[in-house]
Amino acid sequence: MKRLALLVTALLAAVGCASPTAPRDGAAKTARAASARGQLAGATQANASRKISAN
Amino acid sequence: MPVAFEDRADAGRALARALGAWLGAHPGADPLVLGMARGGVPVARVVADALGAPLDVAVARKLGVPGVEEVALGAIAEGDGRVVGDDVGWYIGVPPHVVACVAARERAELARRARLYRAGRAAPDVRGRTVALVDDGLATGATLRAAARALRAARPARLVVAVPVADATSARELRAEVDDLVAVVCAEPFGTVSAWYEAFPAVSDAEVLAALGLPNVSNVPNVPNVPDGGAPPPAGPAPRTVTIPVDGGVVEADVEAPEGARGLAILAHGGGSSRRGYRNRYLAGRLRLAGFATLRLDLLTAAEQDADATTASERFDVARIGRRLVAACDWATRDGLPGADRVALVGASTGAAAALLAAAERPTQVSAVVARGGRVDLAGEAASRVRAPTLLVVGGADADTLRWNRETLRRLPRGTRLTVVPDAGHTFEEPGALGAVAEHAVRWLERHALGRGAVRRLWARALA
Repeated sequence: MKRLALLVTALLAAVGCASPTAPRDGAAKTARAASARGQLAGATQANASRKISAN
Repeated sequence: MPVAFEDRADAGRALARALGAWLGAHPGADPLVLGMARGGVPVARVVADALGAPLDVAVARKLGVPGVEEVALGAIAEGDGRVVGDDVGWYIGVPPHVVACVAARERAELARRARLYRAGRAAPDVRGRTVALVDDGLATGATLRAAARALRAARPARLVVAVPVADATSARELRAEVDDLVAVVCAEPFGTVSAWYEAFPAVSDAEVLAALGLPNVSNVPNVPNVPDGGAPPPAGPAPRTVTIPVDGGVVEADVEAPEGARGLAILAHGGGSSRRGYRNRYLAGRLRLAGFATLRLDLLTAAEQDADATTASERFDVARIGRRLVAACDWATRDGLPGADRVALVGASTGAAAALLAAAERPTQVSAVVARGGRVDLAGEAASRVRAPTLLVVGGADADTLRWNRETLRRLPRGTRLTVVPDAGHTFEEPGALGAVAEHAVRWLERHALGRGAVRRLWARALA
């Protein structure tokens, strides 16, 4: 099963559906994680302030 | 943060001056202006007019994070089969097959827009030309990067990205992939593109066609645009927010039931969070891709949430939040949600304790449970009454929770599995951790909540 998953991942990567690019070094990783967290936190805040009609 | 421009036309005038200066330094360039559909086209129209250059369109599309569609995990562009990834997709740990699934859904819309904006014409021949690729702003840059890579393959003489406002880091990274980048304002911290505009309305297909000098086509299905870094709206019916009567008042819940949903997952958030937390939303979005309808509910009433914000005590009343999950199961049955007779419960932290309580109370209805960083120890004796196959996912760095899960494991039914996500903490904030939780959950629920349901329910009834 694990081999199949690896094969599928390799095939997807080959046709251009690779997973989002990972940063190469530690500092970039920290900065990008913070940036991503910021975007997701912003989305959560915006979503929380949105009112949708009930029922 | 100061507002830099009144609107896109104002931004276009400023950008035309900046790009004009760049062209002055590069004599002989005969530019072709390409506007990024949709928001970049009105800006590009003004730029092209000011420079006396021809205008065409570049079509790219953001890929939204499943469940959190307003945040982009990457982008795709016309003429290029590749997906350009963004930080958020990497951070969450969205796996390639999920990215491929999201991309496949969005390619249809990309193709529709390309057909509409080209009105039967071929994509412009950029070979040997100086191309100015214009957008209304550069935030993360995924969409522009996707478009730039697609254009680069068509071999222009020079490719210049031109934007009124840019995030400094994203601009630096994109500049490395193109011949030059012209920005009127380059800032850090940047915030959002819309913050730099006084007026930043969504741009419609009709406005794009008008800017391109093409006749409006009546009855064009106009997918609403999301301005400013937004990703396309999710496929399927829009979520509806409902109120569920519970002891002490009502709680709110978001219900999303895609066409053809084969099961129902009810998601219970952890203490201090709500149904709107991005982890909850991502897990729900990922489960919908796997064929589940989802119901995310607040475990506390509005008044209790207010009290909990100051005391942090309401969240630990697991008996009460367990009853609320039971109420949600009953509501799903009354509402006729698909899969309401074989509900999967996905709970986080104290919400996971509530999930075990509800599974113990509704042994024939609850088909499977996933506990994410679950305080399953708080379920007490109810753990031994659970019949549903249960998956405990715990962060490897969350030592206390790991210990409590190991202790509770002994009281849960045979077949319960404990899976550890290496190096992850209680809330799975480490890069890749949330994605790992989601994939474990999907595999577990596909097996136990979607398949073999009839046999399992008969077995549960026999044991109940």
